[in-house]
Amino acid sequence: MLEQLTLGRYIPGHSWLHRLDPRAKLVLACYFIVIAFLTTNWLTYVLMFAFIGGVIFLTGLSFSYFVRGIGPLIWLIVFTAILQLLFTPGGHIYWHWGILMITSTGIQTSTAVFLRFLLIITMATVLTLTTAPLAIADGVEALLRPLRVIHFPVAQTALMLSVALRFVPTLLDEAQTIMNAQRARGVEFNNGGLIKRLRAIVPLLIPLFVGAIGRADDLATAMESRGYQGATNRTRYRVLKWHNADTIAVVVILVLNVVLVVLRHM
Amino acid sequence: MTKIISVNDLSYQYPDADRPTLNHISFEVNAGEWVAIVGHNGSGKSTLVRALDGLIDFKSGTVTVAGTKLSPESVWLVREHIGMVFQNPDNQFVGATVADDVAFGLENAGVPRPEMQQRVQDALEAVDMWQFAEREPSRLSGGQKQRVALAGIIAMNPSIIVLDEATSMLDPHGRQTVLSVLQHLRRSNQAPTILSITHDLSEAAQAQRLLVMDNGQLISEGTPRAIFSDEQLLESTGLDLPFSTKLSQQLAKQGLIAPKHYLTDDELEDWLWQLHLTM
Repeated sequence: MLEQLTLGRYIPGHSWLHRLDPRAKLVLACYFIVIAFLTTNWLTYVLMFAFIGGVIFLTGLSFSYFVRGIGPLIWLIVFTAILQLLFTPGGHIYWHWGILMITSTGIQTSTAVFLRFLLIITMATVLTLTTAPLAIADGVEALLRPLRVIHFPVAQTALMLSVALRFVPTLLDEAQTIMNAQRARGVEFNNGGLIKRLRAIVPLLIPLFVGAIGRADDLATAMESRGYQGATNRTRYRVLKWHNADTIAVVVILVLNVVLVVLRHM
Repeated sequence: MTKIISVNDLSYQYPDADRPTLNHISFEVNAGEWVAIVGHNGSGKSTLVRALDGLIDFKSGTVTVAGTKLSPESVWLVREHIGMVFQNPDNQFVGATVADDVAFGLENAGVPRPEMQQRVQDALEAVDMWQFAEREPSRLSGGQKQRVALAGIIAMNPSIIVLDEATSMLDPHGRQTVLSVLQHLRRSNQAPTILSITHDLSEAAQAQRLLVMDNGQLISEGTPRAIFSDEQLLESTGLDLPFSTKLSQQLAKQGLIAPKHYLTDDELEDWLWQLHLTM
């Protein structure tokens, strides 16, 4: 059960996209998500899907990873699209029952919602599949850096994020150990109704929290003994490097934006 | 010989405890010496070494490390001299990868990046972990994690290395690899002073001097040979006998009387071989 919970589902690789600077990937993924809302006619959708198809091809990863990434969210997308379909008035009315109706506008908006969601989630999946959680944390830190002006503790936040990521597998292991220990004592985690299952979580969570607090205390002592005095005067071992490939990626997405705007008016 | 650590009349009581954890402790360590502190659980060993690093706030007594008297003002200076490796391999791993973790102390000290890269590589090579530089801690064994922790200390080049039961959670192989790194360090030019807390008496036997703690007090000190020969002391402090001593006792029951003083495993083995010759 816990194995499926791997954070970010990063798949190591050496593709062009894997090697892009995480700052570039974060900004470009966000940019793509914003311009996904500029889609209007079928030409724009063809363009965007062709683009994302190209991106998926560039990751060098098997298509099944993307299907699995989108899988859990597909029902949410379908549900949202159906709501749009049944509650949007306007245009020609094909069918109606009480407040429910299917109209030509409804069909259009629900299709748009469905396709845009699909684009957004696919792009987010590309980001998490090709970028290590640590790299994402580095990228987030770099992008948050301007916030230092308003005395936001950027370096501390970044260290917290990186320590949290580093402890995810450790705590998952511990949870597994506790679950096995509780199972050996007769606790059933996968049987019974919702209430019974929730109750079974309590003897898992309490030792997990106690353990985590103990670890945090140990870690703080170790960090202090190694001279950690907060963020002042620290140097950095890991630095991000902006390559030509990153600039090319920015240019590509800007071109995509321009073409998209042109197609909108055709 | 120069004294690198001097502890004078150190006492400490945890806020919610009913008796002092450290009770008027005084001792000295020479530069370059390997000293092991032994004693059963709760005897105050860990608290003692934490006090040296300024990790607990003691009220009475003085601690002087490398000529600097420990005070709230000098604590960061003292910590530069001391590198500590703790018991739990997972709970002292700060970095997301091996290299990041070794770099953590260097980053804190503000070492420039090119120098940092070189020192990280050198330290990881010294513990034979350079090929794992990009690994995440969840993919390492306990022994490997402790060697990374040691590399993080070696990179800082401190004059004192403190091991707070650093091998107690490791399997025998992991323990051996960590100990061999230490022995290797001892043979280098700038051999660091080592202060190790341990339950493992064969590990303690490698030290030049043992400090025995019981109930917050330093009750005895001497060479491993002298301490291990004192069976009364070992039993009264609840320490296990080293393997070679246990074996000598069993042999004595069979009528084979080994020399009275403590023998290392190798010495006992030699004695047994020679015994065979003389019988």
